[in-house]
Amino acid sequence: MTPESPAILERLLRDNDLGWMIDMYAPREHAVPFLLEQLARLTVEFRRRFRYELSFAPETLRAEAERNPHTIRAFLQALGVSGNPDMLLMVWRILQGLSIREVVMNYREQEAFSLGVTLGRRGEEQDELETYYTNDINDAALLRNFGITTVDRRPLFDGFFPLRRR
Amino acid sequence: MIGGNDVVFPAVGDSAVLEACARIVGRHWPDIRFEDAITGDKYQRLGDIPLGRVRELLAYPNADAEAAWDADRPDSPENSMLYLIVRPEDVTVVLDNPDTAEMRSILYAIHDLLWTDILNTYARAA
Repeated sequence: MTPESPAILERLLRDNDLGWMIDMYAPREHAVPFLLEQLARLTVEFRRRFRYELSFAPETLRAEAERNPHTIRAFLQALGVSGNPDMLLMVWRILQGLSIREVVMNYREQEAFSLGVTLGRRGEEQDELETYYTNDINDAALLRNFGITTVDRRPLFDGFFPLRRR
Repeated sequence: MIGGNDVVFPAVGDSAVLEACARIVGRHWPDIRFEDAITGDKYQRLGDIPLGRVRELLAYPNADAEAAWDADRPDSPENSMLYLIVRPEDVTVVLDNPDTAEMRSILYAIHDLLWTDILNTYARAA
């Protein structure tokens, strides 16, 4: 993070019609520091899980937005939905091109919720799989961004796409 | 040269839609290669493509097919390249023969995916 990071993040959010993430936060001036902290936690979680560095600093996101604006738009929408680093990492990995191999959701009214998403990438000898879990029902909203289709009449979730706004 | 059958899908043709189409094609072609049809820049993985700057994308099933097209070989097999074009109002898939099982599968999957509201309509502002 740099001294410019807060302003860059605010610009990114507003350019992607996500200014509400700042304006509806109480108190408003705490919104950007909170989100910066979320991104910093995500950087740590990524390093812990994959053993290499990937920065989620606003500067990095801005650079990626110049190449793939819809990718960062989708990621920032996810940041507005979930504060769970595991779920945000899951989103990022789909955006990196991993396939959604399995989704397991369990819900019992006012008792329990769980969501597990397994992602995969074709490996040299066998597929590399990684699974992400949550017990926060709010994270179910992330499924709205999954691409939905069929291949030869078989069900397929593919991709994580930004919701559009006028 | 590519046969020139155009299959046009009404859609908001932007970088998200181009990614969606490329993902579907890549699912059928695990060794897929990509090329920006305008600049000629080549990409070995979907994640390498600056989709925000690409509007016309060539997809090859593998490096051999790509090399054959690069060499302008007349014996390039049928459907050994797909040409994806996105515009604000639609996405077009150009291919040799849309009536093979593989191409039908690809085209139906693209159709279904583009039909989902996140890629085809606008969400209400929060």
